[in-house]
Amino acid sequence: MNRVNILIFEDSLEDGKRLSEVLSANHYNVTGIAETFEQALHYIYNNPVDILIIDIFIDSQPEGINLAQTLNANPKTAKPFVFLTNSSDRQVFERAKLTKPFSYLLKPFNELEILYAVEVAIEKFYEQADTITTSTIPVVTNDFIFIKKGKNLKKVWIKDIIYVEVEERYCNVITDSENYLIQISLAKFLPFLELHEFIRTHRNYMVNPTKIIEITLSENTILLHGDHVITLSNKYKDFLSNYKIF
Amino acid sequence: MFPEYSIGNLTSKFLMCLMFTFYMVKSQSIVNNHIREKSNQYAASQNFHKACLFFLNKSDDSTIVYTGRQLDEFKSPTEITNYCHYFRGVSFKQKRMFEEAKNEFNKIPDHFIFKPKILVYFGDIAVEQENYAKALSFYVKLKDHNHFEKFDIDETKILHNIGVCYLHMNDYKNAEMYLVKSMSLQEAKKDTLAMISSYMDIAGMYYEQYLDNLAVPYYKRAYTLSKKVGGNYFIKKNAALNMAVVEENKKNYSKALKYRKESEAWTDSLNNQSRVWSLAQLEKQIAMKSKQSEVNMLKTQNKLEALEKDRMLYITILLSVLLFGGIYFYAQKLKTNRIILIQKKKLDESNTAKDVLFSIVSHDLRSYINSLKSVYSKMRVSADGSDLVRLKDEIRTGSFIADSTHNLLNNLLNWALIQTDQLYFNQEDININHIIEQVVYNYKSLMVEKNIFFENTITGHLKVKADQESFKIILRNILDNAIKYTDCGGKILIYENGLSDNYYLISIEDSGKGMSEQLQNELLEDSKIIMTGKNKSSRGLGLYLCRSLVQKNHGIFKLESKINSGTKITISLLKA
Repeated sequence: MNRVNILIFEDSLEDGKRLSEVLSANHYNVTGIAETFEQALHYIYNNPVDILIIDIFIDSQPEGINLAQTLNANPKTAKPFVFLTNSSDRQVFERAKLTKPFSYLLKPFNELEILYAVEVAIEKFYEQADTITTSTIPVVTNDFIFIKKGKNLKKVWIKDIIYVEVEERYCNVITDSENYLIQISLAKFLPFLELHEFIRTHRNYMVNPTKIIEITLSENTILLHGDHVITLSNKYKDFLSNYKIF
Repeated sequence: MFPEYSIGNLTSKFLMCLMFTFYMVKSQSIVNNHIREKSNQYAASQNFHKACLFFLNKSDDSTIVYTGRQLDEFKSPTEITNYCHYFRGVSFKQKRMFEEAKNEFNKIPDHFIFKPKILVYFGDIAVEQENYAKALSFYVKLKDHNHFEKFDIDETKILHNIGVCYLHMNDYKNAEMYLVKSMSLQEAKKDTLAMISSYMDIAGMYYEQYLDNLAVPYYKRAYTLSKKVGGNYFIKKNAALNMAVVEENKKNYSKALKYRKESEAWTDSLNNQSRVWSLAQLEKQIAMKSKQSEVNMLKTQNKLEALEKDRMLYITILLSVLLFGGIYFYAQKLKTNRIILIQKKKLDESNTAKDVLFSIVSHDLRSYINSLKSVYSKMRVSADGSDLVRLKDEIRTGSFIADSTHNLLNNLLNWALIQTDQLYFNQEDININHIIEQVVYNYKSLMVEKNIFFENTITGHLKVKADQESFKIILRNILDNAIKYTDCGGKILIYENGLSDNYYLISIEDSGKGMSEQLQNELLEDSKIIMTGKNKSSRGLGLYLCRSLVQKNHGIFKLESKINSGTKITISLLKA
């Protein structure tokens, strides 16, 4: 559920396999390895794709550049992508640069280089530099956030968050499967949470209303999915008026 | 009686002026002193100075000439011009050129110091021009004036002239009163010339009233006195003429004829004087005309010269443009030739270097492949004997050789890209630590194998302005060398080595074999990218790549090394 979906566009079987292995080992979900332009488009339209790794030359043709241009042309399909090439030839790069790649990767590459290139592409695409590559600051989008946990990059849907607990400069994000401590101020995080109608129940808690199971007014507590019990402070009780109490 | 009348009239008229001249000579000391002062004051104006001198000496012609020159001078002070007009007025009047005299006097403003004198002159001129009523008005203006002495004006003369005016206006009573009054004053002063004219005028007055008996003695006295004075043609002429008229009236024609002849002799002398002046005027006009034509000719000549000059200038400019253009293009050509020569030399050098490189690289590659071949044959033997321990060892050796070969080929490729300016180069803000980690990742196993202690203490946020790929190539080469020349159990450190205003200094230090100074110098020499000599190898290529790439990133490359104690390479890169 919290994996980043990657589509690889690569005609070299070996390279594709190696990339796929490295990425899978690092908690990425490889949606597929497309070998032709059409195949790549098919994957993009039918599978969840968060980021692409695009080889510039497919069958000695700069198909990769074509794909990048196609993606860029429509804001709905615009996605972060990494150019992959085994050539440091300037002319090819000058042409590739016109598509504004978010990052590029030169063959031969090692594990660290792949992961770094992917993270840089995400940072650049969402215009949130110096976040996941260097710290525990997440990349926040409307529907999900990219969180670096340890060496792995995770994609957490905001609708899947049970609640968020604020601890000074950090927010503790609680989901069904995992907890994440991310470096973000509530003020910055709040607008995104409010998009998904999160409710403030306490100075330090933002709760996903869809995850509420029971509210015990006498004890001022809220029971949430996964048996989490959090405090309900008097000051933030107002939201209850929006609900019918049976 | 009519002719007598007219003669008498003429007589009295002429006498006036002479009498005046006479006075000026005798008693102008105060005025003259004043003029002398002015002359000294304006000694710098030579013409004025001379005009003053001539004026004081009564040289009328010279006075007119020099005042004329002074007035022609540009921007004379007003005072000087006033004096000049005054001198000219007086001189013209002396020369009986009354209209000119009047013009000059009129040019003098009212505040001029000799204004009363000018009034006298106006009066005198009016008398001379028979405008008696006007003359009388001038004199009457003067009558109230108390400062006659101050301006050397002879009161007797004024009185006399008033008398003459009345005489001509037929007011004999007043005429007689003024004339007699003036005559008695003159006699008291023993002023001979004045007396002559007085006598003649009184005689004329009586003659006019047909009192011949009273008139004749006066004529005689005038004539006798006129004989005694020298130089005054007017007086002599009039005295003689008057005597002639008297004798004619007495019907004494022989005597009258004698007087007439005498009078005509004086007239001739007088005419000569004025002829000289008109001749001078004419000459002046001719001179002016010739001067004017000369000026016109000079003007045309100047115009022609200016035209010629312009043409010369254009031609000169054109020629200089051609000359300098020629020189410029010649210099450009020389410069281009020199550049071409330098380029050719460089090209030759790099071509030689390339040839040498090829031979060395192929030599190196051959030895790598040879080693690989031998490793593979060994591996086969080991595999046949199922000696897994040895096989594992040999595989490791083989992969090490493959890595080295790969590295060499990579450098060769990058060298070629740099030489042909085809390397993709994009300077941006890069996080050094990430790049170091990524590059080091490939060497981790090698370092573990050689038991080399590695530490990277660069802070995670350090960002520099550099091209990511070239920075990787630099690091790879430095690390490759460091690992190659560091013995087992040694250490490699990467750390931030201080910072300057614009640069971050990153040091990569190993505890390897180090290099001799000679070797260092050879490696750092610009033109030599390949080591030649007995240790022929492609070792210099990596270092050359590092240096040129650091340069391309606007950084600074520094190498410090000591035999047996290690090498430290410091790269300074621009801060992001």
